Amino acid sequence: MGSELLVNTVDYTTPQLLFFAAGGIAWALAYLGVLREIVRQKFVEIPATAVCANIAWEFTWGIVYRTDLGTLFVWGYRLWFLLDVFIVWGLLRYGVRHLQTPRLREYFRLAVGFAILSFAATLYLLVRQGYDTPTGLVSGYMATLLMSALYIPQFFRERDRTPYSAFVAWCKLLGNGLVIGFCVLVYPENHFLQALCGITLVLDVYYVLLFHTRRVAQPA
Amino acid sequence: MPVATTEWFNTSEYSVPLLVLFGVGCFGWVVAYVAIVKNTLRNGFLEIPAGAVVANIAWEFVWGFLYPNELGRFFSWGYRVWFFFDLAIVYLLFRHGHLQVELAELKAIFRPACVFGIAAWAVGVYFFVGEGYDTGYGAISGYILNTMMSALYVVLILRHGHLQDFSLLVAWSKMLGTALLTVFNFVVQSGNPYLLALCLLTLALDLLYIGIFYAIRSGRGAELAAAAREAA
Repeated sequence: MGSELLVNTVDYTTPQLLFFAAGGIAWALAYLGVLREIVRQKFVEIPATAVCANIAWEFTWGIVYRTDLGTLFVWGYRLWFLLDVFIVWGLLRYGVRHLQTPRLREYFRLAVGFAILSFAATLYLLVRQGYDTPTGLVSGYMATLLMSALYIPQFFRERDRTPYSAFVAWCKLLGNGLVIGFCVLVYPENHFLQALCGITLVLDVYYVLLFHTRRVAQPA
Repeated sequence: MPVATTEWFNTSEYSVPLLVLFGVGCFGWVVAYVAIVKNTLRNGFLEIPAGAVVANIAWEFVWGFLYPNELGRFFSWGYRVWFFFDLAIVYLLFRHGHLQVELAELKAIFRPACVFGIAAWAVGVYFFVGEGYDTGYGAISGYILNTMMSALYVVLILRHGHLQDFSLLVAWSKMLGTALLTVFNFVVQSGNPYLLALCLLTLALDLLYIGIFYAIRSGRGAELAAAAREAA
């Protein structure tokens, strides 16, 4: 079975694997960029709902299910999960600043816990029902699309946009773009996945444009 | 891909009580839609979250016009009735929906964002069904957006804070309508735990919303609403 190899060159071609690996690295760098801002600015730039969906996806696909891309990628998913554990820690510690209703802060951690459990349960069942690809990209792009959509209103809402990172914006776009390349090569017949990829890419490009126009225009 | 049926009611695969249950659940949503339109015309504030409106109209278009309904032609027409009610809600979204957001920058892109949202949801739902992920009557795609709508309702009522802009009739009719459809799904789709999880999650959020509504109406809620208004 190719999936038991370190890298599954039986079911996937080298260019396909390189697309996925490069996209995965870009995402790991994006997570490191987010963590850097958590440490420096005490600010979690990923929208709270997206953090919950991400950690649930990484738990589901890193720990519960196994990608068929090979053992190296299995550990790559787990590395994402590990990095995201720290992001969740940052969210629980500093994430309340995203809330528009200050006195509702007491419910924030409860809501985060509920959201993570809800996403994890539904993603687990979605995969079990056979709706996902063996790499988890249908559920993965559902979560990514949610993140890309939520980034935009959150960026607008924050009065101080200084903690938002250009590095993260570009790594996110690049990471998604490369994994979308993988999806186009490997799943050309899955039009639902292609639609998710296309919408996510539009939102990511819009965010990068928005970032550069609005943040540069922001008075010091 | 859903299988077309030429019957008005597909009684060969679904019993009459089940079809009645589904029809009554759908009617609960018609009551909610009528109340939403009526309240928006009276208050000038659209209570259904913008993110849910764009998803709903897209779903109703796809399932009302592009795919046949396994339950029978009567239900396809039911979905079309929802669609036409929802057109009124979309009109109100473009007219009053920007009041759901506070920032001028967000208000400026509100309408283009709604158009993009409708198009994106329509494409997504169309291919979701085409890929064979849905049931023959749109339950899975429907409940994905229903879960999102129920979550957004909770956020919106807490953020907006003015209880008079929200309707208890809508809260109850959407909860009961969805709950009846949930019972239908538990009977018909018992082998699909993913759908059943979405059903239960939606029910929990709908009940939470009703609980928050009553809490705001009572003393504890007044404090929450005041906090929300203060923050806004």
